[in-house]
Amino acid sequence: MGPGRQGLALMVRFLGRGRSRPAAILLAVGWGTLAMMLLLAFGEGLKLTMETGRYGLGLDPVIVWAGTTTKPWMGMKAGRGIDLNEEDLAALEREIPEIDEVAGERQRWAVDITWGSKAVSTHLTGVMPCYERIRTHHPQRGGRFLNETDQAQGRRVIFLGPDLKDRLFGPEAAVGQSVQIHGVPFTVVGVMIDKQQMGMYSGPDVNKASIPLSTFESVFGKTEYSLMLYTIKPDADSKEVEKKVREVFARRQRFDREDESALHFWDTIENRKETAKVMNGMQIFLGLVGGMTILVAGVGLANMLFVMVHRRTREIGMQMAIGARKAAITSQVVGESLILAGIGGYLGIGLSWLVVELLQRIPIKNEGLQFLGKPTLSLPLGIVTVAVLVGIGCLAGALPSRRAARLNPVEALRHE
Amino acid sequence: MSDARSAIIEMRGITKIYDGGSLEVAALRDVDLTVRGGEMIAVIGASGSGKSTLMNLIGCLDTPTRGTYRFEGRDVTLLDGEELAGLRNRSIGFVFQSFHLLPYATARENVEMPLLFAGLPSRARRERATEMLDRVGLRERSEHLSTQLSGGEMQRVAIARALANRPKVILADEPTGNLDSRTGRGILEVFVKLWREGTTIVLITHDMRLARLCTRILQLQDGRIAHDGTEVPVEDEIPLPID
Repeated sequence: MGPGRQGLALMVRFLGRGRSRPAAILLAVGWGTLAMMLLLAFGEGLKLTMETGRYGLGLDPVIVWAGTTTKPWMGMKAGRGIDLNEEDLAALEREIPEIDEVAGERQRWAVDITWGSKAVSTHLTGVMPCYERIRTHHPQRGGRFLNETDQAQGRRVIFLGPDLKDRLFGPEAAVGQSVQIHGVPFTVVGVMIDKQQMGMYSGPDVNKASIPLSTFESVFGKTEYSLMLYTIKPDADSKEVEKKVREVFARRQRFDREDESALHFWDTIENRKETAKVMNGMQIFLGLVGGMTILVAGVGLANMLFVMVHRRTREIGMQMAIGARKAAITSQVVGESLILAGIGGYLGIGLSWLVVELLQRIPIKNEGLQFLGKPTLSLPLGIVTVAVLVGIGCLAGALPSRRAARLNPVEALRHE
Repeated sequence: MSDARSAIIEMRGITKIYDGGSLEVAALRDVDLTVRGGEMIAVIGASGSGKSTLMNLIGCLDTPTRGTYRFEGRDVTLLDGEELAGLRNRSIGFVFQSFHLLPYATARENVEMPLLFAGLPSRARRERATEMLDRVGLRERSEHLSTQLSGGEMQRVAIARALANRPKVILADEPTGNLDSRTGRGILEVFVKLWREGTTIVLITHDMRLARLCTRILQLQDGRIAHDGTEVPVEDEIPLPID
């Protein structure tokens, strides 16, 4: 058994036998751990809300809408409006292999939908079946989203956002019911699962209604797309694809490819990366704030260990006299520090788990608090906390143990 | 235990000077000392004569300013801190005036400490500690906390701890200094018994009864050996027996 292990064995054997009175330190380390874990858990909760909201918008779609040219091009004046149409969509599919899926969308504001005597005004979209996946329009049980057959046959079917369904039908089941738009009957085929949504996209999806794109054209007339969206393949670079999309449109619609006002892009992939950076930065900040609290506890722990070393100077002198090596002395102090940090940390982790569990069970009505999300404990968070505690334990024990190991045995034995 | 008559400790020209800033204090001056196996030596002298300094040097707790010190032929002045710790652990047993027992440990656990630092496994430590406590007549008290023991019993535990690694020499600093005369007598008997069993013992003492029991008496005066013989020197400086 090496000297380090000898010291640890001695420390473990006599732990709790009057060597130190650590209740205040355990409390301080526990409190610090609780503060750090809760801060990180709130950060994690917010991150999760952001992730959920991002998922609510869709699976990393890039949204494209038309603008107006600001530069003259090939004899055409600036100020010309750009249209997005089916041929453009087909060209993108054909010419850019990095694009995974592409879809067009038509929108109409303030459309009255009636059910019996009840009417609500809403935002109506004509969409393709792939929206179920790329815009995460998942149906509740008992219903479905618009499908290829609906699209091919121009069926009069409608898919409702859950809030819109509540406004129109209240508690009654909507699927199978017939509603009217501009006097034309539509059958409700599904209601969307409630979702949080980051980015408004002409308002939250939960308040919108969707019908097949082909049906939209037959009811409201064939117009240009309000917007298009596409997703890219996993190994593709969104910036590169955007450049190619702009080039295709510039060639087809005849505008300067450098004219950024002609075509607008909402790149949610880039947004996700930026948001992830912000969230990571925030997590680090929250972790630092919590870490500072533990650090204060660590200073208290180090102070207690200094006092302990001072009080046990004669004992350390005796151990040196009977043959304890330096490592046997230092390992006792560092070991005790780690154990105190460990027990305090364990208490703090347990308490924070309890607090988080309680908070998870409290229903939150306030929108601001809903956005903040619920604190969430995770494995990385646990690993970070344990690492911080081990670091604090080692740091707090390092200086006092160094002092103990440097004691002169003769002077230590004479210490009063 | 050591072979009778072979030199365990050989000190030549040992000088120890304490640097007190502007003032240097010579606690020992040119001390020559040889301790042979099987001797029982009393070191006597007035306060400040250099007894404790000599004890610290013999026990490798301190290093001399000048001179050579060989322990079983090995030059101790060339050893580093870790090697000195090993030497103290294996070859020297300490008995202190104030016992220096861990108050929260049992008698056996106290005796086990030097065995732990020697790297003995748990079971061997336990057996050896029990054996040593038996040797000083405390087997029955082995599971008592040291705070539950009397002064005499505590000193016996300290002696058992000093014996634990079967050292070459036992160094005892005023072993009866904190004990009443009757208890002190009991401790003297333990030392005499150990000496008869072949243990080499060096005692610092003011107790002339204890000194008279020793085979050799060293008197220190102003950092020098003023007397080295088998009898107590009859001089004014020598303190009277405590009782």
